Amino acid sequence: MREDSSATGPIIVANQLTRHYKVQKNALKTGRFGLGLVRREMEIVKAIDDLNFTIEPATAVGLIGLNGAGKSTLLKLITGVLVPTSGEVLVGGLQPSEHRKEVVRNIGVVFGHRSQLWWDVPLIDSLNVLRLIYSVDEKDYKQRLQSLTDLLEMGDLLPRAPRQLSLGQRVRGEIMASLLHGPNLLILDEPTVGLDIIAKAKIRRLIRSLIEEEGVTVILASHEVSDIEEICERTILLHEGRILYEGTIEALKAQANVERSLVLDVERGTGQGSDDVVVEQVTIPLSGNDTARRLAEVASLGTVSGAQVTGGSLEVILARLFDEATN
Amino acid sequence: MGTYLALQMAYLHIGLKSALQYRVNFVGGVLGLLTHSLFAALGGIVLIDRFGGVEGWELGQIVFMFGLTRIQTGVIYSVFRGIVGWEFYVQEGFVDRYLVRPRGLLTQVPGAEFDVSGFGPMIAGAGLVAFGAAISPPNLTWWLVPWLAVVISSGIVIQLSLTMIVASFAFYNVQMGAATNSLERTAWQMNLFPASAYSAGVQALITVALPWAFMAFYPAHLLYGRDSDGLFGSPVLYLSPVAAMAAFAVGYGVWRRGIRKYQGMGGM
Repeated sequence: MREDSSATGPIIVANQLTRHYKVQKNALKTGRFGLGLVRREMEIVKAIDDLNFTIEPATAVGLIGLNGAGKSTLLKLITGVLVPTSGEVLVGGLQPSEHRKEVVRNIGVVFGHRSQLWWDVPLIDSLNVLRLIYSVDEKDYKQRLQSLTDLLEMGDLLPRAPRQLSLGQRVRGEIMASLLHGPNLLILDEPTVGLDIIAKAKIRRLIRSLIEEEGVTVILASHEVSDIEEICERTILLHEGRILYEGTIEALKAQANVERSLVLDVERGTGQGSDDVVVEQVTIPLSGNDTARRLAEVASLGTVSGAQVTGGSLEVILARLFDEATN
Repeated sequence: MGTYLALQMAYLHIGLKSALQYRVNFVGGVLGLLTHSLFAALGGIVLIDRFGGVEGWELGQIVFMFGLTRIQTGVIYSVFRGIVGWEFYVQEGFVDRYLVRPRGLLTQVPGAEFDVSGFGPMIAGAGLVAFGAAISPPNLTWWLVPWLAVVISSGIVIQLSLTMIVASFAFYNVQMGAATNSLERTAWQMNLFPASAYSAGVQALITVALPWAFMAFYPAHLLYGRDSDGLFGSPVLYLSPVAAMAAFAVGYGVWRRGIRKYQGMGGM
């Protein structure tokens, strides 16, 4: 079912992609707090504004943005749920809004907040219906079901209803349902929301293995920055419908030029007894030229019992970037 | 077609299996709408019986016609529950879920949102048809059963088309739940009495704009061997399938346009 798309170039191409919404004007802007029964002032909101990007096959791209940045709208344009106001997005060479059924046949979608499984019946029943929705050949279905059951460790869970599963098990069930038809593009919207650290790690490993072993292209929209750091090679930062940054996470970190510091715990004697020590925290900026000299100075003060680098995390960089863009 | 039917059967199977997880709710839903339909009919029966008929139509004939419309409404409630409650599905974001699958909305929604409580009006409708036929038997001709099938199907399509038109407003984020309810209740009321009992303006309305008169009133003339006693003469007596196709053409056109204008609801 999956085709080798590496020979055909990018799996997704967006050219001046734009989507506007017509919404009622905020009462705070208009000063009209009436019922709005007769007259309403409307305004155009640019949810997606002139986006240009490409996504290569078998890669993972993280989609990051504040609430209302346009992430969901972009995903809906890619899946053909919404029609662009202008410009175009091509998925596998086709415009999703014109060829929705053909395009989504090769897409799997996992909504972290919304299930595609029937809540009260065994998981296997939901998968059987999805087989018919996607017209998967019975022989292919059996093979695919077996390999996904092994990969996702779902053997014992197939006879159980989603309402009887833990959140982590349910997310694995959602991913299984999304991959049953062998899509070459997997769209994940907040897949790890609410999961514990063990379940999160499992889901992240699983997604990486899908990219590396099955050649699936992944678009991951998440507020969980660590998901994006661990899964994605590239990221697209969206802000008010426009691209704020597009590229690798390493380049983003380097480009951000955020002040990073080394915080050291230094133990030294109080001079009142051989066992009496105090622990002091010493912060050394890592950006200056005299880092080595300052380190030597600190080492001479006592024993370094702990060290931590602060200030350079992706989360801090993103917060600063979005803060600057907003103001 | 084979795959389509297999999919609908799979939907029906999983929908019934889900509903049967809550058996009290299952039985209560069916019985609730069944008694609702019967009591509504009872009110009309008492009224009509007091006057001995309406515009030359006997009580049994009126009950027979009303029963047909109850069967049609029951099918709408069961099979097209998702369209009736479309506003909810849009607001809750379920529409996106359907649109990311390689099937049309009208292929997925009927099966996926199947509601067993519609069996209530269907059973009540069948009972009323049987009761009406018992006290005022229709002409027993070879085409009675095929014509009844055509009439019931046409009525379902007419009611579905009108529901789709109202439901399409939800694509524009316009809440029309109240209008859907009003439409259904008005259809109910209009179908309780023969269309000829209404004024010329109302007859024109329920023949042209909201073609409820084609759901049972006009086609029932043929079953009872009556000449047209309505405003539009005898040709309309045969036109239920045509009215259904015309209504569906309009309804589907509005629906398609709505999908193109769909703005989505927040996150996916």
